[in-house]
Amino acid sequence: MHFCYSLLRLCRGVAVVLVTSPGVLSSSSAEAQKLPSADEIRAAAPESPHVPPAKPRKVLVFSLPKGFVHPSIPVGEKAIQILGEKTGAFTTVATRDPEMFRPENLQQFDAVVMNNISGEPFTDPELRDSLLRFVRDEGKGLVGIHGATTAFREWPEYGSMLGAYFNTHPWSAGDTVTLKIEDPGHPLTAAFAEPTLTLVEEIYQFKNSPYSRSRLRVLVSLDTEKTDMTKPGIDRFDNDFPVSWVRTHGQGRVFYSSLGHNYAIYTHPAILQHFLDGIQFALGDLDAPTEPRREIAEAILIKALPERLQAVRGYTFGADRRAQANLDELISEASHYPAVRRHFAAEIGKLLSATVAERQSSASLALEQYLARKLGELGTEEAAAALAPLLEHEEALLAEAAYLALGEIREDAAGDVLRKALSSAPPEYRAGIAAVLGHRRDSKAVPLLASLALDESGTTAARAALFSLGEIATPEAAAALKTMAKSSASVTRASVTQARLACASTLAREGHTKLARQEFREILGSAESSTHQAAALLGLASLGGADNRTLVIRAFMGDDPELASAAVAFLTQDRNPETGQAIVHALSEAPPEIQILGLRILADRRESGALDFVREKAQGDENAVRLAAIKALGALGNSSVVELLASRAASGDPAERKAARGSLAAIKSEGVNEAILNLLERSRRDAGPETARFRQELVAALEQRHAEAAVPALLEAATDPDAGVRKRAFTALAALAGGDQTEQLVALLSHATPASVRKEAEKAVVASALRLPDENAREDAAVEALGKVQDPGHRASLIRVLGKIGTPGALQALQQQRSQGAEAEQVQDALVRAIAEFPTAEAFPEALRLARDSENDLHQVLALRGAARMLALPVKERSSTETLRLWSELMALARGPEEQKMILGEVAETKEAGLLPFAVEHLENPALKNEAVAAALELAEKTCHSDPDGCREALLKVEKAADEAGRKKVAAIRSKIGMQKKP
Amino acid sequence: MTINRREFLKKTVWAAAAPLILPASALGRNGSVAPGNKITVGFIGVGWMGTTNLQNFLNRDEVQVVAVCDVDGKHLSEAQQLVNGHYGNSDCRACVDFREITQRPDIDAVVISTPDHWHTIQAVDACVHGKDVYVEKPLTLTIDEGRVLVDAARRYGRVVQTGTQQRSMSQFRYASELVRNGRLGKVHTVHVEIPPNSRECEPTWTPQAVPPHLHYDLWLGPSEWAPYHPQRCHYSFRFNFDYSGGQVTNWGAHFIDIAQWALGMDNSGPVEISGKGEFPVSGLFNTATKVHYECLYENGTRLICTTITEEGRNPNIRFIGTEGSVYVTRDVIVSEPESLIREVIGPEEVRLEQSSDHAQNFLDCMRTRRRPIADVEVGHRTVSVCHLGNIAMLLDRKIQWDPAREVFVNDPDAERLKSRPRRAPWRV
Repeated sequence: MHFCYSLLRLCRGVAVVLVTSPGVLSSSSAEAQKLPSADEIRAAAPESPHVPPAKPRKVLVFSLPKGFVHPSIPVGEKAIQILGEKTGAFTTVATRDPEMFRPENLQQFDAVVMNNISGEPFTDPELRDSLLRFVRDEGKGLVGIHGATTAFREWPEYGSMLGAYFNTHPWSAGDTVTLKIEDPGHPLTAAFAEPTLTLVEEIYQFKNSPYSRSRLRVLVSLDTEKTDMTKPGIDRFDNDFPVSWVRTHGQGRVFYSSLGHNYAIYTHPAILQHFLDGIQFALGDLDAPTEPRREIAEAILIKALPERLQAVRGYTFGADRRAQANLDELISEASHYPAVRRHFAAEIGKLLSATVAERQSSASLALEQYLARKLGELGTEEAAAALAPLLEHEEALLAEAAYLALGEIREDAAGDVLRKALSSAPPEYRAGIAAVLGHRRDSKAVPLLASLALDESGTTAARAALFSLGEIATPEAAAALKTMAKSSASVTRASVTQARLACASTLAREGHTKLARQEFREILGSAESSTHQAAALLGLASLGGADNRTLVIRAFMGDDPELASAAVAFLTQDRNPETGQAIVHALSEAPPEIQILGLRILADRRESGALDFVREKAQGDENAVRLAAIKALGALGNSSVVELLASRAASGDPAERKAARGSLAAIKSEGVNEAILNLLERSRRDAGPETARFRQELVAALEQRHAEAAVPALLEAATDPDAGVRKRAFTALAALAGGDQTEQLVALLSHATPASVRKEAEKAVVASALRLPDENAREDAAVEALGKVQDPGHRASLIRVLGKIGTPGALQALQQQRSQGAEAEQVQDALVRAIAEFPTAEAFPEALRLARDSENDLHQVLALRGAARMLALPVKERSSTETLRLWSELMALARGPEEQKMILGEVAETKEAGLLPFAVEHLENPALKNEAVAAALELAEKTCHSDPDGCREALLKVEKAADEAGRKKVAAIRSKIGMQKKP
Repeated sequence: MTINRREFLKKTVWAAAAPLILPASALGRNGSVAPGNKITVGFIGVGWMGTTNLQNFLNRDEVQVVAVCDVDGKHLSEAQQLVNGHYGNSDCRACVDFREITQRPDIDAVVISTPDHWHTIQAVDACVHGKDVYVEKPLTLTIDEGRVLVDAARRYGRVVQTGTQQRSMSQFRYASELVRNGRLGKVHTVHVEIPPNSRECEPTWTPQAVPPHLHYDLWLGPSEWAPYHPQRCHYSFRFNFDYSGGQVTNWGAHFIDIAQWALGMDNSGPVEISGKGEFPVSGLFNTATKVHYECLYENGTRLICTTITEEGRNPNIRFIGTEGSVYVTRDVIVSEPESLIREVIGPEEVRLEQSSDHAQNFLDCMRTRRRPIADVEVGHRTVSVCHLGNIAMLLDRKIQWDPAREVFVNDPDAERLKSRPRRAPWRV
């Protein structure tokens, strides 16, 4: 190192070694990269802390690179340790383990140093949240050294907390650069005695965001006057290259310095002091201001503008937009500084005026439109003033650009400009200007718009003015519209009413209730169309009150369909209980079709106060009304209507039964399931055939309602004297019974008669068994029963159940039954079917044995089909030779062409490459040709890439046997593998 | 053909419960709807999406398509032929100006499938002329437009269905019911993944002559004039902020919609939004090419929307709760633990409205005057979240939103992006 050191004594009496003499520039890159020893670092480190720590401080130094690995990582690690150790400011724990960020580990620390990390050192949201909370909520410290801004790109909150993301480094490790101590009076720059510092170091250019001087306080930055700015890749939109900064983040403090690439940084006394101060600041020991320095930020932005403006000149439609993107960034950054905004607006305004003045043709329109938009975005008085002359320009597209931009500006100045132009601009521009005044809800424009609407009635501009009055919607605008309504010609009357309705709605929303009511009433009484009357009615309805309610109900009962339609829409949505009562009252004397509509509305409103009325209607004589009431009970009912609904479900006409079932299933109120269970119990006690259908409905409702608590009652219902009830009960149990009911259900199988009931019972047993969490226990109940039961029908049932349960244990039980032999025919039949239909491939050997041995033709066919199906299922441990052999055996076992075709169909399903020759083998059998072709094509398609040769060979044969469609497919497969037909 | 509108309404509205009160003899043969009771529909926008909608409605017996409208003469004549071919007559009227449809007295409903910058103008005009409206998603171009449209629909008592048909797909309803009923525990995070752009554009472009069959000025409508280029118009208009909001609104309208549904936020929205998007700085497209925005709801739930990075992955939504998670696409629903998606939602629990056919739901609501499943307010609130995401990404910072008042909290720059002035004579 050839820096010249001098001593500076700080006011607190701490001796610090500092760098001076920016003129001495002899460091070469090689020297800068000399690995410093701990002693060298220690020698360069300050003797004592900037301030004594308020309490013992602990710093976590995290150095896990997941992207670029900076060789200086260990040096930095060591340096921070030494800074703490030597000065006694803090102790350190150095780590590369993300687990240290778990809240329980992190809590022992006062600050974290991100030492040249990169990539995504951790992605676990808990770790990330933990660090965010550590800084933001717990008020701890975060320090970033150099590469820290290259890390966690996929975690925007990190970048936002630290203050920036690295973009590029136009100045590399060997470059000599000069830094500017921007904030010389700041405690964290006390280490730097001179206003600049020249050194050899890699310097970052940060991404456009989240870096913003509005969010942080820059301490040190690149001195662009004294540094080589001709380096390639320098493209920051604001020419701002910060180096060190501080900021507060929530309760916490952040210090970052982009220095730290070269080893020499860590033996640079001033920089070490700067780092130490930064860490002490982050720890909360060294108090330092963090407010952004607005005047500097403003100066930077203002300085950057001319170059950015220059760059967008000459923009034409379709050209590259990079220059605009840079200006966009600059303007967006300016949004933080009103003074800069105004300056920018003035400058952009000048450029726009100049462009417009020089325009020969529409060639500059793209730039003009762009600048106008930017002025709209800046939104200042200056912007409005710059846009004003364009409103009268002869080029209509310029005037258009101007009024669109003015529409974006909230400042009063824009309103002034637009109002002035409304009278002075060419008539064809007035519509646009009037519309924008409406968009801005410019209340001062009301008189102007009113006279435009009246005086030029019938023109586009007048129409625009009319609607703008509706949009502005002040009492004055309402008055103007009202006047117009009296005088306007019938052609524009509809437009005036439309505007008045819009106006009145806004007035109502904004608290001018009385005025709104007057307007709506008048429109309702005078409007020329039902559409407008309906809107006025809705407007009144939304204001509430008994009078308006009466109007709505009258419209609902009346015979104007458009008003009735509006009334229905309102009554369906409104939630005022008084409206509900009014509906009920009105319905009591209404004709049936209105009653039906009203009942639906009451249901939609969930009008529980109307339950008595609806219940009464549900028992009335008028069929259609009764049906509507039964439907409404689904929404309004409670446990008190369960009996009524169940009996309608049991005995009504088909539509009524369906509606009653739907309502019974839908009632939301509490206690409904209990009510159903009580009724079920009661009906069972005085059971008679006449109540059976009633119980069936109750049981079905329990299933529909997914009433798991009803399982015990359902088990009882499964022994009901009525077969229909038993059947429904088992169906419900299949849906609701848990695994622990399997045993009981198995026991019930014996009573489950007739066959239709037994079928449901079997389903219930299987469903409940499959709900047992222990797979190996699923067959237990059925197996145990099989050991005891003698009745052949019951045995067959158990066997079917085992087949469906499909566990290895179930299969074993089935095999055992087969080996015992000598069963009733019914049982034998069930056994064969259970094996043939077994869900897994494990039953294949048994099915094959059956297919080989069975003397019963039907059983043999069933077994063969089952075996083929199972053989087509994928299994891991079976060689392709063995598979092929088994298919051949099955083919040989087939007793007719139908079975052979079936086997070829299953083969096609396998999609196994090795079976292609098997399919090809059968091409020549005329009876099987079609199936063989189909199977071969299916398999060839799957294997054309893995075995093109075998495929080619097979396709030649397939082609001969195939019909036209088949040959097309052959061609398709050939083209898929790029194989040409051989000559 | 002329149908007496009042007669029609009498038939439909009165019998809001028509099938209930009409004896079978009042219906046509085979129980079909009697011809006089058909709903007459006009189609505004019959390009790619519009034609899909047209075919859907043509196949419904209760509908009679009576007019089609498009600013592209090619689309228009193809659609007219499609309709006339379907009915075997030549009654379908074709027009270039949508007002011929919205202001025609004998039309009951309009189906709007134009680019987004037209939706609100056309839908509002239909409402104020007493039509019901089926309007494609994304519902609006700006947040303010949505409020204007909802107001117009309410003011005139119209049925307005947003074309977010995932509300009528059972797996999305079921997933939302699981969330609403706490089957996932407390849902702390919802992650929506949307596809990257489905079209690319050259870095520079040259203005081109307007094709003779295109009424370009009407195509631009309320947007600022700009020279014609094919990439500005059909289909790829959605990647230009002048006319749409990119995939953020295009796919967001579908999947954010499900998030809003499941979180019970159909009348509300998030309170804080932050975003980081990548925007192209060359070419005609300017909407985000890489999307990342996050919304915070008042109850602490986070909604994250990002661009899919994994090849071949479909747009999806994932609900993550303290007791499990559910992942849903248009094709699959999976959960962790697996048993979650086998649970049955009982009658005493929160049940969401059921619809299995989005267009049918609209037609049913026309007769009953109920609000449809993707009611205009729902569509507005959903696309508002998408617009908020775009605004946060454009401003490149966190924004605070007051969903009750629908204003930003002390943020004039964000507020400015909530609405846009329109080129005369177009307005809402």
